[in-house]
Order: sequence, then structure tokens, then C-alpha cells
Amino acid sequence: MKSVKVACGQGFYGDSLRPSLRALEVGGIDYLCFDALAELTLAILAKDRAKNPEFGYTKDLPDMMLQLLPQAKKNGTVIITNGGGLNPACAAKAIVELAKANGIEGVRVAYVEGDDVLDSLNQWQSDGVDLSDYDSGAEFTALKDSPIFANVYLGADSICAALKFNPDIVVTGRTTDTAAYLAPIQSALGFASDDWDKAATAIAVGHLLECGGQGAGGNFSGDWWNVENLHDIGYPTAEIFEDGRVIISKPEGTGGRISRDVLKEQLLYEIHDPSCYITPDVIVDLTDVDLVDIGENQVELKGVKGNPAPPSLKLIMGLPGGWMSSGQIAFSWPYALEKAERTAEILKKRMQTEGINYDDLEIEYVGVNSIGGPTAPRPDEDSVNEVVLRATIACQQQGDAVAFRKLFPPLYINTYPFVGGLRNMLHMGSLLNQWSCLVPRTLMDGCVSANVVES
Amino acid sequence: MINDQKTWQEIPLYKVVQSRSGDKGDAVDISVFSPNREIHEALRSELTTERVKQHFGDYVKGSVTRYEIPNLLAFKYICKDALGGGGSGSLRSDNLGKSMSANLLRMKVKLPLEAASTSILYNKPQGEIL
Repeated sequence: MKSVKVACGQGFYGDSLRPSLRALEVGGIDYLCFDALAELTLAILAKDRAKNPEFGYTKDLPDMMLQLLPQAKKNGTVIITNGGGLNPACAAKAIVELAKANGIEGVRVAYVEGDDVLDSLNQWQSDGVDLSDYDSGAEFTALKDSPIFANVYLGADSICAALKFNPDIVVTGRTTDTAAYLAPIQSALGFASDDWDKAATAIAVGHLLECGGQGAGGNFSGDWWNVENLHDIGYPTAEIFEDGRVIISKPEGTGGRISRDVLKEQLLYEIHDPSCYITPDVIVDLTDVDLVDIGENQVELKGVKGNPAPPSLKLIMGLPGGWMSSGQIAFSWPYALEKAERTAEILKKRMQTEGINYDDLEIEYVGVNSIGGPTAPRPDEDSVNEVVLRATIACQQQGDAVAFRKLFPPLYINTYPFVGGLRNMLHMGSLLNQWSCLVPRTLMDGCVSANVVES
Repeated sequence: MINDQKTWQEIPLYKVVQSRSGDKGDAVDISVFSPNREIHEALRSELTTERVKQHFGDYVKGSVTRYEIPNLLAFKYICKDALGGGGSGSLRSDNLGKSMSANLLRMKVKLPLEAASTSILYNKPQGEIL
């Protein structure tokens, strides 16, 4: 029976390349799929593009592709990535050129454009398109600053169009994480785009695979101490058969684990209402989903249902959110927590004296409550070996962020005894506010295109 | 509810259930997986949205909604206004809500002891120093 095999190559911008190399080494993969775009990533890429119009794609993309291309071409494995970010055309060109410079000829890279709608916003607004934020209800016209980026989440059809070029690599911008899986599965098996159950099953496969290690025993909350060889973790793979059967696995001999208990955590991860997981391609219903262990590191996925694709697409914008500035100081036993708490009070008084303007202040005691918050009980003072005071502000002006960080070094000698960890204890960066809205799908008609670059 | 012959006991959730959490905007999404149907049914009345909200105190300012995925013996809790502004705007160390599960697993819940003690997490061996 006809089947197609897809594998995860990357779960996020900055992920390890080793699992991809291992997957290609073991072989048998038709499509290797990469997700490089979190919401914040587009803001970083916008800064890159502002400096140089040739940039705006994930910087590590050309070199990663160079390392994967020889084996991928040998195996006939096609790579799909959204690492093109805000500039898929230049990313495609850069990949082909770098490959050529390293003696790899005959490389074909298809790319998808059209998701970047920053330049259309004013027109859409004057045409009466509702661009208010669906979380806060705020009106688009009330914006103080113009967006840093504005992209519409594209679905699988854009990637299917690129696959028609018979490429080695497909590079896109803001396509959904799961479209990178649905597109090749649909292209290979040839089911209709309104076969909603099959489309939903392929999206569920994408969702299981897209986070890389999280779907193969990483971050596993079951018997994590028994998961073997995480240093050589293999990212999940899926074989999808023409009749809709799906088997999740991982490359033979790699570390990690594929089991019902591992996959169920990833299947429900960040999907919110499980009966209504909305993608541009299909609305997925996981109410009756099931995962069945069928062998060692082999799980069958069953019971995924689909409902017709929504009439609107999600538009995400990034708005400048001011600055964050953070400083830390580590105190040793004895009385570490008391000293840290008293130092936080001193810091607040110093902020007042210096007239630092801020919108928000977060005080955390790393080692005590920085990730537990109010749910973490207060420990006995004598049991605290050491504690790190971490103080962070959000502010509008860069000057306030700088003034805040300058308060820290003097605290290291002007407060209480036995401090440590004084290197690299300051962090400053910009904050991003997200703005999301739903726009009619028809707005994108004729705006999305696929092209190809080759050597 | 508790009129059977079984022994029920207050047990911290980390010794019984699996959990994973993540973010979406300023909301936190927490899944809880029971090791067997008996625990799942016990959690239906014990791990209510009200108790989850109360447990998190100031950390969760908005509403808590619960969904069920029966074949996976799972409940999913969506906590709104729970990340201090959301992923890229939050000042928290855990700006992505990945440890919100751990915070929930601290909760002690009344469970049938025998069913709870079959969880692999209940009998975790003492940690080895590698």
C-alpha cells in the first residue's frame, strides 16, 4: 500500500542539527520538516532585515542546509522549512549560492511568498477590514506605534504549490508549523483537500512531530528517569498510509522514547480546546483521539476527526513593547533568603532615589520561587544553601533600562555578606507585544506565490 | 462518592499523574493524564476548575476552563491571564509557562490509594548519583 514517511528536523530556531543528521544517516525518510519560527523570532528577523534588505531569514539556515544537502540528495529526502522568515526569496538564493560555493551543484530550492502583509495593513484598514486584537478587543486605529512585522499564517496549499517544482528544499515564511507536514503528506498520498478527516490526521501528525525532542521523550513527565540516551535523542517520524493508518516512530538506534505515554503529552500540548484546534487547513477534533503502543518505539495514532477549514486566517503582528532590564545577585547561606529579601528592598529605594520610571517590577528568588511563584512554600532558612535575587523591570525608555542595570554592581559590596556569581548577571532587551486578528481568507487570493531558484 | 471499602488518601499529584504545560499568548494550557480510569474519575470531582484557580492564587488572574479527552484519560485546563503578559512580554523567569505543570503537581488531592499506587511515578526509585 502507498505510504509516505515524514520526520521532524528542527523544533525551534537554535535547535540542534544532530537529530536531522541522524535521521538522514538512518534513511528511509521522504520529507524532513523544520519549524524555525516562534512569535518572537519574526521580531528578531525584522531587525536583521532593517539593517540589510538581503537578510530577514533565520541566519543559520544556509549553513544547516549545506550540511544536510549531500545526504538528503543521496536519499531523495526533501527538506521543508519556514526558516525563510521575512525573506524566503533571499533565503533560497543564499542556500543555492552557499551550496555552489562548496561544490554542490544542481540544487533546486522552491520558496513561498505572500505571508508578509505589513505593507497591506493601511489599505485593508481603509477598506474596512476589522483588524482589532481578538484577545483584548483593542482597535487597530488606537495603535501608538506601527507594527514591526505583520504576517498571515499560511496553510499547506502554499507549500503544495512549491512542491510541484520537484525541489530539494522548500523555504517558506510564516506558514503554520503543521502545514509543513500536511503539505507533503497530501501531495504524496493525493487525497482531496476537503477530505477533512485525512487532513486533520496529517495535522495531528505534524503537531506530534513539530516540537522535535518533546515528542520523543524530552520534557517527559512520566518515568523520565528511565528514558535512555537523551544525548543522542532521535526526533519523531511518522509513516502515513493511503488508508489513513499512521505509525509514529523514530530513527532506529537513536535515543529517547516513542510510546503512548510520551506522545499523549505532546498531542495535547498548547492546543487549548481539543475539539476545535484551528488551522488554516482544517479544524481538528481530537475528542476521540487515541494512541496505541504497537511495538518498541512504535505507536499508532487513531480517531482524529476534521471539520471544514475556517473562512478566516490568523494575522499576527508584533508591536514594540518597550524595554526589559534584569539584574541578579547570588547570596550564600547563612540567612541567604533574608539577605536577598532585604536587598530587594534596598534596590527599590535606590530606584526611587534615581527616579527610574517603570511600568512593572518582578522580584524573584531563584532557587526558592522563581518558577513556583505563590505555589512554592517558603523553605526553612537553614535549608537554603544559596539563593539568587532576580529583579526585572519593564519600562518605556532605554535610559531607564540602562539606569536600572547600573544599580546592581554596587549592591554586590554595599549590602550583605557572602555574594557570588557576579559575572554575566545583567540582561537587557526589548519587549514585544503581540497583536492577533482574523482576516477573511479571500483577502489573500492571488497574493501567495511559489517560485524556484536553482544552480 | 467515597462510600466504598477503599482507602482514600490525600496524595500529592506529582506521585500519580503526568502533566505538560505551555503557553498561548497570556494563557497557560495544562494537561493532566491519569494512570488509570479510577484516578481519572476521582480527579473529575477533585481537580475542579475552582480548585485549580484557587491553587494558583495570584499566578492565574483569569478564568480556568476544563476539557476532557476520554481515551487518553486526560483533562486539560486553560488558565487565562496567567503569564504576566504572555511569552514575549512577560518578565517572569518561566515566561513560557513550562513549569506551570510542576506548580499544579504540588497540589494534594484525595485519591483511592490502591489505584494511585499503581502509577510508575508513585514508586520512583531513589535517585542515583551518576
